[in-house]
Amino acid sequence: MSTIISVPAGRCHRRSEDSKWVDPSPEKGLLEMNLEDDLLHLWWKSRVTGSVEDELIIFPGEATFAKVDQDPSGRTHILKFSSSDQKYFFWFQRATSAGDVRVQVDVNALLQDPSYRPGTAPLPIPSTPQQTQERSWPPTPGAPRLSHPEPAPRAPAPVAETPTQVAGSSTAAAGGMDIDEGHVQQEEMARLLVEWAQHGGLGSVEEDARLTDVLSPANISQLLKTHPDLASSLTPLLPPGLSLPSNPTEQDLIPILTAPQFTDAIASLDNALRSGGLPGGMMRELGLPESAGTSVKGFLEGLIGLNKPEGEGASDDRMDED
Amino acid sequence: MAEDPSGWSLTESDPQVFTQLLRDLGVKGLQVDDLYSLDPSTLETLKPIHALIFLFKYVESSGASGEGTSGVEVDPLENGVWFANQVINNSCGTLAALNAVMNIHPQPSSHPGETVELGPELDNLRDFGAGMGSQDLGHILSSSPHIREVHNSFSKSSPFSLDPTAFPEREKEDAYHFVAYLPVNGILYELDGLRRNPIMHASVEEGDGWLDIARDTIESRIGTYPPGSLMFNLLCVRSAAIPRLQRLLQDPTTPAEMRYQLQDQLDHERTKAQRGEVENALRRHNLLPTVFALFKAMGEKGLMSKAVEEARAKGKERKERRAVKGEE
Repeated sequence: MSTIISVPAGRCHRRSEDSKWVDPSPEKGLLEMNLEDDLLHLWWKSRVTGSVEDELIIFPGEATFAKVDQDPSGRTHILKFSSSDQKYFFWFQRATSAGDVRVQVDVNALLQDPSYRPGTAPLPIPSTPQQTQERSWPPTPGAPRLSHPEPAPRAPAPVAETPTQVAGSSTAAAGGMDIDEGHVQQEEMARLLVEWAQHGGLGSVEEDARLTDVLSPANISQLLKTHPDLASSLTPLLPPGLSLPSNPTEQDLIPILTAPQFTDAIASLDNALRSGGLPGGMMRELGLPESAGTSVKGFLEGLIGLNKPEGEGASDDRMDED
Repeated sequence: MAEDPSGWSLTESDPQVFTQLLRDLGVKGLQVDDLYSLDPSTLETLKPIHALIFLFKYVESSGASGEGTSGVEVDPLENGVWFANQVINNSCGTLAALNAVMNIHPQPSSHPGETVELGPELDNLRDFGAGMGSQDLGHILSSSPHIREVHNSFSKSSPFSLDPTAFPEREKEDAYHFVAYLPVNGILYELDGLRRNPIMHASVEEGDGWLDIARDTIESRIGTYPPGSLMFNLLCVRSAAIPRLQRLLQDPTTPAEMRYQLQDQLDHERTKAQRGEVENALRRHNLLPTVFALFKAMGEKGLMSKAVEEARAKGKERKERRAVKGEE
């Protein structure tokens, strides 16, 4: 004996012997179908007592299983025999109704053919996501409908107009309504910013140098090789679990400081400085002027300023030696 | 665009991150590796493989329709497939890993370190979610503080939340889409958290035979995209390698001619695990103080001006290249 289908479902009972009304019973149960000695068994099992009730043996084609259209929730289904006037009502108790159609199709297909494999029959209506139906306004050219950076697989293919023409979308979205629009505007904003930056932006504030290029792995290696004494001050800043020797040398640290995670951290600092800056207090703690927190340019200039003119050439380990 | 409102940060899709993530969630006996090739000799050294995770992104974002897949959508509950939908941002990698491992059956072993099991946390989650729909399972996962914490722990190195629009390269990384392929009850499924249901592909034999069919399925999917429009990467979820290799090397019945190869594999696994540990330690630590210290040292030692000059030249070059591209 093998269970082919088991789906959380409750029963519905007629209000009275010949009432046209049926009411769902709250008791939790399972609607199950099994094949036993080539005979299809269908039963309802209480999930409270575990006991099987309403066991039926159904011959192929003898009964159908269909949704009851009168129930606005769409979850009530009827098992109807063609050979008699027996009728049984069930309501699906799964947490969401998303899979109800599939269950209905499978149960019904099994009733017609016990060798049917659940999940293989086509669904009656193609499962179009609701959003596409609700969206009546024309799709925005070039702006794929994504609510976040991960692509949604059902995003309708954008119409094949010039994909760069985002500016045109502002008119399309002007009368707009839903959350996607915010994204479109954000994209447009980002694009305008890029264009603005490409045309020089604020000029003096815009900095061509990226921090990841300034503190590149090559420059980090170079720094440590020429100043091996830095190792002792850098080590306490690093996390445990790096399998470092107790007094790591610059040779031990270089592979760690040039790991991609550092490049990411430097990139995020670059990003923070470009998009709003960092608190001046933070810069002061670092021994930099407060203006260093306002932009990448300010930050770099602050760093250059750390090298006092008189310290040139002898700035390494010996300070204030006179 | 500040902190993601979901509270889930972006994490790298690195095999070592996945391996540690599973370990932190209590999973035993599994590891995740890059799969550079699907040819039989590569697969042979990695077996047993329990699931594949296919990561891909469309190079041309405008062509993303996701209809490159074949197969039939089926109800997960009726087919005994554990399947959660992705309900929040930035969780797709973790979700794909969970969709995969929740369907991997526990495999007891008398050899230490070779038992495959989900562990109490995920076992509980599975019991708790029994009979629930995929959407609900997605919500349960995304509201689990522990899973979120573990997931987020891998992105501590950069305390500023990354704004993808400011980082063209970053944005591309984020656009990866994760799909798990694995056999459940003798059928190959495709589990894509952004689709409503699992996709049933074909019935498969017991053992490793499913990999051949999965390879065909993935290759034909890749083939549906125009050449060059798809970037992808493949990860595999496999049994932990080090305990098995150690046991085989200690076993006197292991033939001598195999020992060299096994020793090589063990060395490779150890190096990889060690590098992974270092990288994960860095991912889980705020690296900014070190970054600031390095910048300051560069400044104090008088190396800054030259480095800035070079970086500016590089930046200008990049800008010009972009301008040319933009005019195309």
